[in-house]
Amino acid sequence: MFKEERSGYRFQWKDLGDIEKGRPNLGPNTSVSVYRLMQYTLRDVLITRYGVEAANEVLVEAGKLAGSEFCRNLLDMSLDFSGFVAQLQERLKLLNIGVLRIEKADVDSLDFVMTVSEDLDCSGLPLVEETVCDYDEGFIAGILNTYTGKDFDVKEIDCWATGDRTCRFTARLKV
Amino acid sequence: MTTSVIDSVTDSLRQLTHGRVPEPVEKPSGDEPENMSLLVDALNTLTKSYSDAQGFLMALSEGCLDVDPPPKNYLVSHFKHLHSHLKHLTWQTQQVAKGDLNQNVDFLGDFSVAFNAMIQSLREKRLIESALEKSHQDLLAANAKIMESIEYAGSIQSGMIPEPQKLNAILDSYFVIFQPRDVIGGDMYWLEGTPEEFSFAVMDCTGHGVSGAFMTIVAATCLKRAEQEKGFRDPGALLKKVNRLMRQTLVRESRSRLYDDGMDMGICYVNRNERLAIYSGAHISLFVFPGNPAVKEIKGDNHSLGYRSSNPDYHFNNHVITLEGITDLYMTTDGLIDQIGSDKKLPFGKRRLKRFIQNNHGQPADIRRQALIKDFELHTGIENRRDDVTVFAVSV
Repeated sequence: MFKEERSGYRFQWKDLGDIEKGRPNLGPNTSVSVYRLMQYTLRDVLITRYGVEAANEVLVEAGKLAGSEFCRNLLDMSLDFSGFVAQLQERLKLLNIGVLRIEKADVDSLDFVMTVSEDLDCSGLPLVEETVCDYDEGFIAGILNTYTGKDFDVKEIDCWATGDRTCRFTARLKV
Repeated sequence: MTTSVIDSVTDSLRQLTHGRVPEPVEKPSGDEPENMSLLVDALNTLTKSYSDAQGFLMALSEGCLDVDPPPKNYLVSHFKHLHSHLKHLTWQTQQVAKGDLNQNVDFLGDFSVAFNAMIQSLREKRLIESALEKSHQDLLAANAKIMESIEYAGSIQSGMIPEPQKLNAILDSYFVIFQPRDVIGGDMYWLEGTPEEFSFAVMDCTGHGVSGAFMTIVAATCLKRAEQEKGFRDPGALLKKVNRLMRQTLVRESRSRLYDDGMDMGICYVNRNERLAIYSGAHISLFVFPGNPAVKEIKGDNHSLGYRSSNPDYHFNNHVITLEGITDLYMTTDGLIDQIGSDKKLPFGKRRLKRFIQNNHGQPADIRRQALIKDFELHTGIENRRDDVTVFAVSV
């Protein structure tokens, strides 16, 4: 189920398992450090094995898959855009992923600018003068793709790691 | 040389601390120690960061949020955070302006408290508006049902007034103005007899609208019974009988109530062959032209019909009128005479009615009817109608 060879993605939300049943004492939550421990060690190995560009692509792609499943399973896609955004903000806050805020939203041209504060991936990282939230880029793109049925390019333009207090993303229709 | 570099650096730092952007310091020559070159590089980076920050901060201070913050500039990172918050608040406010109340502002201190309180108030207001709208729709639906019922009652009331065929069969020249203030009303008119001799009447019951219409049903029933018993040739006797019948009906029905209902009525009997008319009224007058004076008002008795205070044995006076030439006989309820006009806030009045009767004598009935309606509407203007209006005019 998890380890067979494949030519396309097979992940589904149910693959996360019955956490309540499996962790009756420890519960569904863990610490941010543990999450980052996995992401940054994985990134380290990916870069070492396949190079920076390929590693970034893998993280973005994984984020997209996660965003898409997140959208299908935790969000109501029948809501209008403002209702959808309000619900997304609420879910991201509830799950301690980050504080999503919309700065600009052109629903006609599907052109968005948004920020994520207290981001799970990067807030508190040392300054490295480069954006690091590749997984978030994919995550946001996956949500928007699934909600609108259209492909999006999501770019992180500010990041905690570049010295900013909040991560800022632009999302535009893929040309 | 080292002293010169230090002086330049010192001067630049002084300018920076005073909010000015200094010129970049020239890099020292190779003879200088390496740390001097690093110092100048660091100062020039600081100067550039400060210069980039200035434009952004100035725009931000003026409320211009469309400006792009300088990238990778640590001097403004907190201001970029503020800029981001303000942009978000602006978007949220725009959403609210569009009617979207799904939004909430999280973790922005006093902004969050104020904004979320405003959103909550607007949500409550929307709920109240929604409840009001529902009440309004319920009222409209209830009103539609009531109106439907009233209009149906109006058709029933119309069935109680004489049909045009009957009027045309008995009367040569006549007109009727029958205008309930609402769809239905407390006025009614009546006609019985033959082309040679007939009686016509108008009546004005207590109230108007639905209550008045109910009263007209009682009145019409009593009048019919009275006419069957007494015939139509003695108006005074008819009024007396109607008075008794109405008292019997209304006093019995309203024994346990505080209400006291009744009506005013005028009945005029006409005999063409004998060229005479007999009039008897209960608070309603007959206007006769030609008469003496020109338009003669024969007042009804000062006694209404059907009230608790109405004496059941009261005998209503019959007034005999000799008909000379073509005589116009007018009866009207007080809805015409008492209607206040919008101009001088005075009632339409008997004097105006008499003038109309005299001035329009000899005109075809339809013309007189239209003229009287026009006079009445001109007089009323924008003033609200006060009562039902009925005018029954017969020329013999």
